[in-house]
Amino acid sequence: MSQHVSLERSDQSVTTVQHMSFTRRHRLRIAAAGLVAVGFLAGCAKDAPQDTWQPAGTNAQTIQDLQWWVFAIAGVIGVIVFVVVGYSVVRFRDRGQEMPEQSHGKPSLEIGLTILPAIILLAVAIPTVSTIFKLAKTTDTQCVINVTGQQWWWEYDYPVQDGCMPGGITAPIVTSGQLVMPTETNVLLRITSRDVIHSYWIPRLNGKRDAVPGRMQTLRMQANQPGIYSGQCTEFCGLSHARMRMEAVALYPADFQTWVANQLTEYVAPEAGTLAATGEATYIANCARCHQVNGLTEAGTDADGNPTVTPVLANPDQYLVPGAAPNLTHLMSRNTFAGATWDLLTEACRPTVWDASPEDFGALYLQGVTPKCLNEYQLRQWIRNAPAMKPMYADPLLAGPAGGKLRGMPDLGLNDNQINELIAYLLERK
Amino acid sequence: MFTTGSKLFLGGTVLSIVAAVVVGVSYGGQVGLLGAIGLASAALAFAVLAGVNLFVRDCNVSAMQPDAATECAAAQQPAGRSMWPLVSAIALGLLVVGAETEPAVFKVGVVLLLAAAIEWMVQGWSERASADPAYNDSVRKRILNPIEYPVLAAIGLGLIIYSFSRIMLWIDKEGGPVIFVVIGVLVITGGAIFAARPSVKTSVIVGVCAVAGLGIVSTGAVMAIDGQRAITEHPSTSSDTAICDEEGPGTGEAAEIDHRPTQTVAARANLVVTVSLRDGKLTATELGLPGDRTVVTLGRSTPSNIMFRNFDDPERRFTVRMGAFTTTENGVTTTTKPQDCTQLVENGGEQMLTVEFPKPSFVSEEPYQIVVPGVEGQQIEIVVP
Repeated sequence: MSQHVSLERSDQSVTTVQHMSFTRRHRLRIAAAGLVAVGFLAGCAKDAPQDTWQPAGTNAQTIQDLQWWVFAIAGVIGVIVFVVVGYSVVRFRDRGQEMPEQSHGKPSLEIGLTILPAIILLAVAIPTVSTIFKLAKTTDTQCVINVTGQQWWWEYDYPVQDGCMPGGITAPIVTSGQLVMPTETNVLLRITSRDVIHSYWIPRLNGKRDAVPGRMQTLRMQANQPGIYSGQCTEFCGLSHARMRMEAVALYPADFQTWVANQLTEYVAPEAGTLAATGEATYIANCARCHQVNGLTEAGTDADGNPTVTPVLANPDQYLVPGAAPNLTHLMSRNTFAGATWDLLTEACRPTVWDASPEDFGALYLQGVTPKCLNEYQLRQWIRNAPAMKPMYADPLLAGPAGGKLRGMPDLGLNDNQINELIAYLLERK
Repeated sequence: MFTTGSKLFLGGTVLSIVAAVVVGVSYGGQVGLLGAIGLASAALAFAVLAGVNLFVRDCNVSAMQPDAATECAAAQQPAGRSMWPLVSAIALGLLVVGAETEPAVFKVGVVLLLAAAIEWMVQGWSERASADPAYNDSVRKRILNPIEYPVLAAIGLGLIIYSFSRIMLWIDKEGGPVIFVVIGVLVITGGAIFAARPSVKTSVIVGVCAVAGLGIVSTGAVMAIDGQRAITEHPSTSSDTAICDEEGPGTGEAAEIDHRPTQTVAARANLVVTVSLRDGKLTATELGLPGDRTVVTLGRSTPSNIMFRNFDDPERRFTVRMGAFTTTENGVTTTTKPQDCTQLVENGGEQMLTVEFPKPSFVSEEPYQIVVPGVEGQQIEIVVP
């Protein structure tokens, strides 16, 4: 009888050992798979255009410097905590031993565990506060650009000022989609919103700043090298929040002067008899009530039948909730449209500009969009039926709650001929 | 002899019999007969219920139990005195009066009726919880005191605060701070005395507090009836051309002017432009741009806060001229020149203006400008892209 019992116990022990061995192997496999996954996912971020770990300006570098310091401290603490926890789990695991004696109250340990975190927090707080003040400084501003968010695109306007470039900016410039700025220049963005709260963030140039209606917030920007730096709205702002992107374009100061000069050029009407000239009329009939093209005029007659020429002025405040639509005067001088969501350059031409060396970038960017490089397919889709590409509250039948005003571009019901005319006209808007 | 329950049903019986007679006689015919039969049936039912209650002595026990008549709780004592029937009657009165006069009175009646119903119900139940009156009372307190004390404290505190606010609104604007300081000193002094003398009897403290509270409530009531002092409405800004173009007080301008900005702290901390008038010269600074500006750029279709500071005599106002626009409708040409301005600002004072331009400045027939009426040759141009 006793032998029989002994044999039974022996079988149980073998089964238990086999089970523990299987569990250990299983856990090791999971841990190994986790490590591989972490390594794989970390590798994904190498060429990410919105990587905060790849600063491209002094402000982003300032954040990076703080980030490393805090990350190092947090990393060391994390390792210590995990090692201590791991050691405790293994060393004091339940092996059927008696419960150790419970103690309460050890002043030296309690004081030590209060002072140590305080010192750690202080070590983190001092550089953090210093960084906050550095990033909030506005006295060394060399160039001011106003940034205004609305559903779902960003408008940039350049105030009249002595800064930005030698001779300053003598007349206001309005653009959208791409923020153009000179390199090695302390740029101050004055950020606000016309409708809901948005957030402006170009990760490689600085942290983010909320765009709040009725408030003017400032954000420093500085880029070391020419190039295009991507970002996106980081405050949920409605239907197309995910498609409210932005790009900061940094140009050498000389190239920036060229860009400013181009933005201030007088309007050149299309040559009479061309498709673009027909497109101008189509534009005035369909687009000009919201989109401004500076210098655009319309011929007509007065009450006495005399010929007149009157400026075509947009009235976005009458039709749109935010009271603004992108200024199209120099549409083809930028690379994107529809809230920087789609490229104006074809996939073939895009890398030529985006991946250009710093030396070549300015010249290539300033070429603007040529007929050969125009991403006509998506631009055509957009003009045909914008809400089909980008969700917006742009259906006139549903605009009642907003006083009949829309949020975004509606479906204008244009036919192919009208679209062809408009594209021909817009291609000349450099 | 008669138990409480049997009294109710006997009353119902008598009332039904009387009603049956009245209906039968007054209506007559088939209607009177049917009414009388119905009411007589009700009288019979009430009489049966009264008999049952008398038999079981209002107790939910078997009639076969011989001790029921002497041991059941209801048989021990009659219901105690209660103020809740009176309160309920008052509440019903308020309901009736309120329904015809003020909704607020009606609401007070509803609240009072609900409170009386709950209190009465719990009191009635607790008096029959056991044969021990002390235990019954403790049961009632245990249930209702946690509700009664906070509610009564809130009502009392609210009454004192409301009365105090009536007092402050009645007295003169300059005298208000004095009264406030005096009352504050009295409260602190009283508190200090009580704290320094722990031997003072509780009744004395309660008495003093009660007298003070009653004094505030009664004074507040008198002043509420008399009405608050005249308070002049004085907007800090205006869009009236008759005011904005005037050097001195404009037509229709309030005599009493708030010389300080009335906007929120958040708005004041969010200035885009600060304009100063000093020695007859107008200067402007713009957020983020160094030095004084002769041209400032403001966003379109977005509000911008501009602060005006006057360092000169006499009082000056700050006006933003928001262009000129000509429209022709039905053959009639109209030109509008919108402007916004502050009230007059004294030397050393400041005033803030929030402006919004729906149109870019190049659309306007006249430039957007910041001016100070009466100060010639000084203006700041506003550019709206």
